[in-house]
Amino acid sequence: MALLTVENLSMEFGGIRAVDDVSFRVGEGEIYTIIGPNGAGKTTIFNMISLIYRSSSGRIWFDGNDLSARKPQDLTHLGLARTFQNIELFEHETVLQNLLVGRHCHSRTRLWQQMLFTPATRRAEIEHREAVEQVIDLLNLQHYRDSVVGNLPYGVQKLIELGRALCARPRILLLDEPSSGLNVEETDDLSFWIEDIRNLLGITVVMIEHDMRLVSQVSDRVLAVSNGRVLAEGTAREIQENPAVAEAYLGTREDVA
Amino acid sequence: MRFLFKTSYNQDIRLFKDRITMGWYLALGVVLLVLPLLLGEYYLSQASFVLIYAIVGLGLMLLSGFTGQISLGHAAFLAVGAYTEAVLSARGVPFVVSLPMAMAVSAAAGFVVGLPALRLKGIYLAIATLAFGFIVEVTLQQWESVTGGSMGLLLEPVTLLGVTLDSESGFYYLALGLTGLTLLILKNLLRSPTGRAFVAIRDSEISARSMGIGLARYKTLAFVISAAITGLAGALYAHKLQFISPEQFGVFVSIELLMIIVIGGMGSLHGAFLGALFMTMLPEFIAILREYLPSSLAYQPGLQPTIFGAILILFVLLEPAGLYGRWVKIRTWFQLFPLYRKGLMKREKSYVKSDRLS
Repeated sequence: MALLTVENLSMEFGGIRAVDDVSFRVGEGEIYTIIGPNGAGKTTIFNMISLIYRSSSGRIWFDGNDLSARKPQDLTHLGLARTFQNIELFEHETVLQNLLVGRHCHSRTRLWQQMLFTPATRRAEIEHREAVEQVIDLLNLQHYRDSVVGNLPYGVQKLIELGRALCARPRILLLDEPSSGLNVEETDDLSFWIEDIRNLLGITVVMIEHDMRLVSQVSDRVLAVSNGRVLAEGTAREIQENPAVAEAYLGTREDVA
Repeated sequence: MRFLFKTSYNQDIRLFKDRITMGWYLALGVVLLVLPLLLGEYYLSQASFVLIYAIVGLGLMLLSGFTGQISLGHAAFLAVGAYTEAVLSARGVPFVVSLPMAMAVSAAAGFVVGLPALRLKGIYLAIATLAFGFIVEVTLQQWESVTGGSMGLLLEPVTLLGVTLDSESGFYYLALGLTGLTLLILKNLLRSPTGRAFVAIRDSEISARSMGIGLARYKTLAFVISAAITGLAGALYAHKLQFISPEQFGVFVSIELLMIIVIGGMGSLHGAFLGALFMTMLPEFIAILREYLPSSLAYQPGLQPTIFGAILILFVLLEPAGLYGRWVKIRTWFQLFPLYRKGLMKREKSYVKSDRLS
């Protein structure tokens, strides 16, 4: 039984078909990567899964729930969290505060309890804090705990965004180009973290990625898209050897001639 | 510079950072409690105004400073609170009932204004709230059977549980108590999930949403809480002046209220107090200044608004973090002495956010 099922998804902006009849399934515990040239519609697919865009047609199922009836803010409650290609952090706040926002979907206290800061609120806050500290330990962010996010290096900000999504304890994590803007070393670290996230925390990962080294290191399966259509699906090796994928990235011999 | 060695998570969520900070606030509390013994009638009355403005400042700070929703019509909430209090107390409703009623009516107005705010952003929201301010002002002028039109309404001093607070110090303690209560509630909110949700919406709506924060719910909530607090200040304001009329709640007042939080320092509760103090003292300074100006200039009717405007511009240009930001810099200078360097507080880089999705 697939955890995430995307069926015949299409998206039109005016006359442009950004995504055209895309279907795929991601099983529980998989690391699934979407690749494709710029403008292929990868991020649009992500935005449709996270309901920022409403798909023109097609359906998305997550863990037996039809997402078309849901709102974007319901997703973390269902167990789906994401990061953004261009960092979207709360940049005037400290790392700790950013990560605590990730716990929002687990907050159960009522407004009046928060206004009076009742013992129940205090207990809940400490529980959130403990969950956040686990993520801080996993991603080695101890050093930055009280730094204001806006002043931190780009690589660290990327990591905090990943951390914030993890704080929601999702069942599935959508990563939009997690390695963009990172140097080689940071990208290597990232590949270990992605594997840890799956192996230690049991979170299914769907990511968009360009760095083929990272993709082949961690992905179980890869989906190649181009011009909004699915080109091929398979292991990283199969995709790299697929002539249609090579053509999408490099063009054909006839184009050169 | 002191470093705090933290040994429990409680240390991060308590109200005061450490015992020394707590000591300072206790000292401030004691000074505020004995203030009526130190100040004369006039200055005590000004102190009450500072507290009332501070309550409005706190309300507006929650909305604009923490949730990022600009309001140019906050004087209208002040008016709703003030008029509700005036009308109810004239009909003999006791203060302990009429005050929550004033807050509730104001909160209801905040809910109504919050509805379009879900679709509007930035300057468009500012214009919508400005329009709301005008609507309330005109309504107050025209609805003569209830509001007395431009003749205004008269109020009696507050009677709290049978005790009439007709002395300056009585009212001061009432205002002080309500200010303390408001501050505590806001401080509690800001250290719990709701406060974090507000700040998240201010900094990035799109990621707030994808972290499970419903924009509609929390934006409306911010408007409702802010309006309720402003309504509370309005009720106090009405009793303080004992006379209210529509001109007291015009657009210029809304801008003054916005100045409280901009000059005080956006996004800090301290800022609301510093701004309120500054805005109450400013007219006093202008009055003193008048004596030194040539008489052709000193009694121009536009003098005060001009000075207000100039100060606002100077703050926005030179110290966007406001008085509180300036204080933090001075404090850091002393803490790091002699290692403070210029530009220490400047943001090093800011990365372009994607506007495509928002």
